[in-house]
Amino acid sequence: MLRGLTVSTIVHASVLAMAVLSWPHQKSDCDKMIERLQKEEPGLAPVDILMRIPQCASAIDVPIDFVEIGLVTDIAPIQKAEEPEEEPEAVPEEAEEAPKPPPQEESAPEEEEVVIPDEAAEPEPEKKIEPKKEEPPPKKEEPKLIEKQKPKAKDDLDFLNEFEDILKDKAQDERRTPPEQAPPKIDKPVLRDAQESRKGAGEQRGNTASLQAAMRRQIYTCWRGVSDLPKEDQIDVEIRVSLNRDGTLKSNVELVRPRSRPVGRAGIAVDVALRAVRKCAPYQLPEDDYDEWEDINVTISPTQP
Amino acid sequence: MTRLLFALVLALTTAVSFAPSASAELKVLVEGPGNFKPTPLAIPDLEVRGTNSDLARQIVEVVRADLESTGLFEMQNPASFIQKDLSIDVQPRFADWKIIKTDGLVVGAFEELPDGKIAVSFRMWDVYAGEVMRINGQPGRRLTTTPDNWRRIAHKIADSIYTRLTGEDPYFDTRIVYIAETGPKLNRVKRLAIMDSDGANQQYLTPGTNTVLTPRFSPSAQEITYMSYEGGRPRVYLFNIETGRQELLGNFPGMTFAPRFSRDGESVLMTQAEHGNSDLYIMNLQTRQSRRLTDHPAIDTSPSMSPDGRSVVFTSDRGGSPQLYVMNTDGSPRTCPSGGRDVACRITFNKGQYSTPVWSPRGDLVAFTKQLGGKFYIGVIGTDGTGERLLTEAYLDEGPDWSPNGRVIVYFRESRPGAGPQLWSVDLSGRNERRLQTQTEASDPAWSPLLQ
Repeated sequence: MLRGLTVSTIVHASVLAMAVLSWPHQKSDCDKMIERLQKEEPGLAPVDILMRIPQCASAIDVPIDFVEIGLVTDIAPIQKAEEPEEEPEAVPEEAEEAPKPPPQEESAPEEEEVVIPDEAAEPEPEKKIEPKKEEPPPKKEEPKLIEKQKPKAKDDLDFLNEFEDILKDKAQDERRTPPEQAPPKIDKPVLRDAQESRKGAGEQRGNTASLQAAMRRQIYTCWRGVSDLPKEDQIDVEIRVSLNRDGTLKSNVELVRPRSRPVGRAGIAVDVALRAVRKCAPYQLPEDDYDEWEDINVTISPTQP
Repeated sequence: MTRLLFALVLALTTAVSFAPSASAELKVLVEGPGNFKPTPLAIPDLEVRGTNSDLARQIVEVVRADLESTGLFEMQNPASFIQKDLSIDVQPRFADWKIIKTDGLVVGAFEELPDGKIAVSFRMWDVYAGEVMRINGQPGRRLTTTPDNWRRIAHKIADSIYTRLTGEDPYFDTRIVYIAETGPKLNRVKRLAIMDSDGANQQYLTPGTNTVLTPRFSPSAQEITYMSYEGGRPRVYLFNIETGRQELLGNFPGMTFAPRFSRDGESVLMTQAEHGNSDLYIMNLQTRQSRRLTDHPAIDTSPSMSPDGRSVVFTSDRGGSPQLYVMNTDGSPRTCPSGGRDVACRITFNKGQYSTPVWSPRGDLVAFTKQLGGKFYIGVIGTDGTGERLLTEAYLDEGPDWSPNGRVIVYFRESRPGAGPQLWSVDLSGRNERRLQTQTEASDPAWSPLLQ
């Protein structure tokens, strides 16, 4: 009996130790990097983070802006395109024939230049990855999948129970996964339902109007307007925004209407609207009502009084 | 390829996970004209790849000054910049630029090329979006020229930035001709002069032996038309900037004055006066054939053609006082906005006298000089006579002309009795009134088209 207790204590302790040592270590790897990136560049879109640490894809919550990703496919053609553009650029008076040789000489640096601006620029991800050097990428991916599910499902008691199981049974891994997956599956639908019904009630609540007014007031101060544009280019712009509890942008904002930036002056109306919404963050809104303002659909309408 | 896959996977997963939250959105409608403020821009010094760092600094200073002169941008103080290790090859640290609340960041590099030329490359970054701002679809630009032409590189960079941020056509890389005035009132020397749009590179084009007035730039060639007193009576001449050659335009009896090119540059409109009556003519520069536009006992003058060439706006006192009228270039009757049909329709009905109308390059507005109650104003009015707006007011404001993009008006001002004339500009909003510095007193400014 006593011996059993001792063994049990030792085993429990060692399991706890293992859990403490191994679990946070594995878990925080991606999360740490993401956090650090977000700290360094608060406005960084998840897509950008993804591009820099693609191996952490599963750890990144990406409410996506499809346009951003689409740009990636544009990279190759753009690189080629810059050179021809520059030649006509040469101020012609003196530069008619001469400019041709110089651009050729410069062509190597040129291409580098082109690569950088786009989100998927390669030098960038390399830099950010540095801290990770020790582990080769394939190893990381496996632990990640487990981590992601683990922390959510488990509490300390689970660990203990689990360990007893482990002692008894050698097929630990197999056992681990089923119990872990189960809880999140249940959790999510429950949350969803709750959210939906709450939201329905929220619309009845008086503070929806005050939240709208608060947002409107804040965005208006950041919005410089487009009164200089011709009337027909002063288009309405609809933007979807997701906010964190602290009022910061969760991700890049998403253009809803028009779906993409129009060519010509109307594109300026979109630029100005997007800039207003991005620049105004973090928003000051009552944290108690977070579920009501987590996702916001903003329409900026310049021509309405 | 892997990236593409990632994109696909992400697109799918987010499409699914986001479906439910879409209905939970708080809807916010922001309406109104907005809260105009100049857009904050950071334009740090260029990265210098070579030895001539003075030139690199001067280029940036001209870019900043051009943009600031629009009143639409506010240049951030370089002392406030946090990131010092900028390079055109590396994405900037946006967080550093958000702290100083700059909307746009321009990063550039200056190079001295082996053949003695200079090159400036630059990129624009949208700080809040965290992405490059494409210029004509390109993520950056590079311009080359000889070192003595450096100001044009600066103007072209400023033009690119201005166009990208406002959607307006460029106008910094242009010139302005004007009349440089020197000497005492009774023995005034009036010479034709030219300068860059920012007042740099001022030079005289005529020696001043004959008084020259009302120069107008050709929209298509390096030519100016003006009125000169050469030979004792005022007549309209054509002047080639490159050759310095002057040529009498037409062989009219009496005087010719108030010339202005048609928008295609192929004709010159002018006023011809004989026996105390003046009427409008148009002369084709190729054929040198002229055609009479108006035949009226009143004084008709200051013709300016619409960009489509179909209409002409001019000043006439046929209604009793100088007012603006619009007619068809072919002389056919038109339906007047004020009702009825006439060969010429009056478009100004408010109090005051209107003169020197100039049709905007965009076609929708006419700029004018207005005189009312001992004051002068520069204003604009719709071509149908609606929406009159006065942009300036002074003891004497006169002689407006449009920037080639139709956003800015240049004119001359005498701020009080006896004060010499100065050149000024104002933007269409009327917010941004500025003096253009000239070495001498100056009048009758006219804007060139964008340089090629």
